[in-house]
Amino acid sequence: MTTNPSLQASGGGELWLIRAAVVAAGIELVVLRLVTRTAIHIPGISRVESPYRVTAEMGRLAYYVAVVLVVVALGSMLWRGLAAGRFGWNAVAIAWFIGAAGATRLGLTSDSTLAWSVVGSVLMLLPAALRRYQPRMLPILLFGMSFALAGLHAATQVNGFGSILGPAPTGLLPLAEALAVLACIASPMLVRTEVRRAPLLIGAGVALATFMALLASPATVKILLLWNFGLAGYFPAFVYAVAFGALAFTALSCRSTDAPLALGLALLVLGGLGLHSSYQSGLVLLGLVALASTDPTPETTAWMPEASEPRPEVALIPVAASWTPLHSAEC
Amino acid sequence: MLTRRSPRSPGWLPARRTLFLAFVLLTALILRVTDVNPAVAQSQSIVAWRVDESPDLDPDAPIWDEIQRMSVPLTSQQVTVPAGGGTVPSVRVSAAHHDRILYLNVEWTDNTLNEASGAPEEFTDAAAIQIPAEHGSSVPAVCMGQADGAVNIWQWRADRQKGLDQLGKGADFVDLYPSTDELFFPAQSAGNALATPGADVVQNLVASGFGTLEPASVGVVAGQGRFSDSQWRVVFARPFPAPDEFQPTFEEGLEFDVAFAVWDGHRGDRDGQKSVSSFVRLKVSDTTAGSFTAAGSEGGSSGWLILLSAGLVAFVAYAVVVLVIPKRERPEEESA
Repeated sequence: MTTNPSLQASGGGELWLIRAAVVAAGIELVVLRLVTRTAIHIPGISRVESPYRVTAEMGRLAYYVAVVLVVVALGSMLWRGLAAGRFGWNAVAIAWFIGAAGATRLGLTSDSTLAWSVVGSVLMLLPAALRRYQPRMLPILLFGMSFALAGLHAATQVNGFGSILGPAPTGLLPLAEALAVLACIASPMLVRTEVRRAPLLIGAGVALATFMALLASPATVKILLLWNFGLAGYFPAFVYAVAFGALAFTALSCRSTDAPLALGLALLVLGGLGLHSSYQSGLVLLGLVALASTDPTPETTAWMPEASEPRPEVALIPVAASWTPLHSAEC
Repeated sequence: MLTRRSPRSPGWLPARRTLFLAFVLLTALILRVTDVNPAVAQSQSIVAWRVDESPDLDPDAPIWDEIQRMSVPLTSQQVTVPAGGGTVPSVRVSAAHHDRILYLNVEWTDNTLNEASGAPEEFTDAAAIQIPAEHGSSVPAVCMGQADGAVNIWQWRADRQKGLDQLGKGADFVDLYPSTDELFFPAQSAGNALATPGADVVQNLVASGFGTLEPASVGVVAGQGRFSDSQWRVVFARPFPAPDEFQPTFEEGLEFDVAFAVWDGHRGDRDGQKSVSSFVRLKVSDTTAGSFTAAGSEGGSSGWLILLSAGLVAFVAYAVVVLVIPKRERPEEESA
């Protein structure tokens, strides 16, 4: 097992930002997308209106905090990479996404442009993440392909694009979900440590809880899966139980030894499958960037591996110095 | 070289982190207070194109062949009793507007025609559309709205349409619904608005949460359904201006949230037992339809095959280039 001390850095520049984004997005997911969305349907919720409103407001604030953090994290990585003279595919992908999301928000481009930009950006970032995990790249490849297929399903239904080619194939979404589930089940391949008891027990607990929840109230849980993770629930309960358990095991196993991997997986889960909003797409992109960043090169723009030629180090001084590298060991 | 001692690269010292967090929190607060959302939704959107000729209430009008149908997934309703449904996996929706009237064409697969509800064990096929009374960033609860967020619901029922179609055509009077004889209709006799004779095919309803569903006091929504080849196609139509504050005003360039529900009478669907969607977006476009080809044309599948194949080939080629080309040895790695 290779343990890179730099990956344990808790104070690295973007790593710290990514960690903060994960926390904010996690709070937003639990409070806004899970608790308040379901609580509003409880008859008699008006009796506890004040606590409900306070909770909902906290969730909204967490949402805005997460949005700001995602924008800042992606923007800072782009800035640092460009300042270092690295104009690789990853920089293009991030710039493309930020530009398309901003232009769409301002009404300068159509929703369809953003949808295709997200799919394109994810596909452009994917190989960098894959290369970091050779030869154990299967889970990330499966997730990337599933996101692309789910994104295609949504992108072709925006602003009538599909009218050019006819309706999208009906099997895209189930296929995307199958690949996503397989990605979760295969995710323990990414763990390079010996199996530890705590992650194993927690993973088993997550699997059991998922299975019980799906058995107890399949419709409600499937709605929540769809809302929160973009999963329509095509498969039997035990499949999702195994998938979530495996993913929890992986994330917990590498939490202390490979923080970017754990954070990247968390961001992919928080962003969900397919296209929901530019915020959630930003989470997915940030997750892929984090996955691509597990390079033990603390003093380089490691998230841009396709750089054509390394610049002389002196060139980094004036521009890139405003941000510390992702895996800075100086924390 | 990057160094923390440089005045321009101080790193994330605790003080800077606190300052940065304060900046993020302040920015988030400003965005929240001003209700400015930097993100944009990427959920499905149904576009109501402007059309040169009115589709009227004909579900098979030629104009509908020129507008893409959006597939909206449905699931069962599990929030309140009677819960269930979910047997209709999706509806296909297309929209248009002409002469400031909005038309929505809802189509779904149903293998059995159920347009009678005269016996206790009989249930009718039906469909409904739900639209928040106010368009904006705050979307009310999809289940009948909420206290500060009313919703307008248009419900079309096959039995109601059949009854109204056959009134005055010599059909057996008491077998039809709605009829005009109160003797056989205690609900009607009691003043139940849902059993009102002479009403329109589409019931125009408003709600502000559970238990508040009631007929809209003003406003008419027109509709017409047609069943053929195991498909229901129902057209809903309503003028742009809102009759009152509980119903939305449509305008070109505006976006609305819209949800759908379908009842399959053969499966015993009624009341809350139905297949429902979540909210999707409805855009009332100021663009005239006609610049694109018909959805579902013969060439559709092959076009998709070509696109997906080309994308797959391009991605594989790109991935091979990125993955196979060996990584350059970095000076840092060597030194490490």
